[in-house]
Amino acid sequence: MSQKYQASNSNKLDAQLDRIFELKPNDLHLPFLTNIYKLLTSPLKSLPVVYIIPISLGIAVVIYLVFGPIVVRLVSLLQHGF
Amino acid sequence: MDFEKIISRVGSSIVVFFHRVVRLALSPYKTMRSIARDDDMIQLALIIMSIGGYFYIADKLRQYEHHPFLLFSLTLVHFLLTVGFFALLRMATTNEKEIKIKPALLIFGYALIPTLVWFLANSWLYYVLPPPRTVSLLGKGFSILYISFSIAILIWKIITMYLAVRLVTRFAFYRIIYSMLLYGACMIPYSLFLYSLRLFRIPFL
Repeated sequence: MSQKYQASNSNKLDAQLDRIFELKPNDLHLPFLTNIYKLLTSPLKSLPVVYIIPISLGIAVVIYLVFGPIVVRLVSLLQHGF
Repeated sequence: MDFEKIISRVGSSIVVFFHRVVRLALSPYKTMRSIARDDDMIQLALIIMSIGGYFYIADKLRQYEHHPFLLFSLTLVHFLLTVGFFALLRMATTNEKEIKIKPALLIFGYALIPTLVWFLANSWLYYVLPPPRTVSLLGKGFSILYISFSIAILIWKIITMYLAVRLVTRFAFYRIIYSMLLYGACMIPYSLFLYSLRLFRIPFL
């Protein structure tokens, strides 16, 4: 009984490990690039909304400050186009 | 009894679908990985029905030149070609002779959710606040919020699309970039052809 239970647990663990390692971690060939990649992608893995909303709002404000009323025309164009 | 089973299966798929759509925004990586292990075609049918629903709703809110069924059919063809492209790419670059197509369809189906949200919001905004926008304070404020919302959806789309390609092809970062460039190179003439037929929205969805 105990052996059966152990075997079943071992199979489950194997399946779980297979699932975890089915995707090899990304390697960008240069350690500093890999580190930058990990630094940038780790916050995006869970709750990226926390970063995406302020970033997108900031970009939109910068676009408005740089291009001015063209942004208003762009929005009209997007609304008409799609 | 069978009917009860069907109802419970469809019901659970609907719950999982809405749960995953929300989780896709909150935790895209975990959600896409769980989708990659799934082959529930009812969820794919729900995504396809949502796309069909969008085309019919959008057509009611504003009259488009083409019938929604034509746009919907072309979107389906485009979707299948996209999945086929990445599935073939994986088979061509690895020794695998077979690929699990159901999870691939489901992953790329969920990758359509961000654009579907944007298109639905855009149609609704067109109905509520029809363009053109003015350079008044409210017009500028709306424009900044609209651009901000669009950028946020674009980032969400890039994340989900990247994860979809990564999970279907199992490629590493550089290969994903190359494959996306190749996909883009195939898409540009195709998009221009559709644009010449005034079918503008299809490649974006």
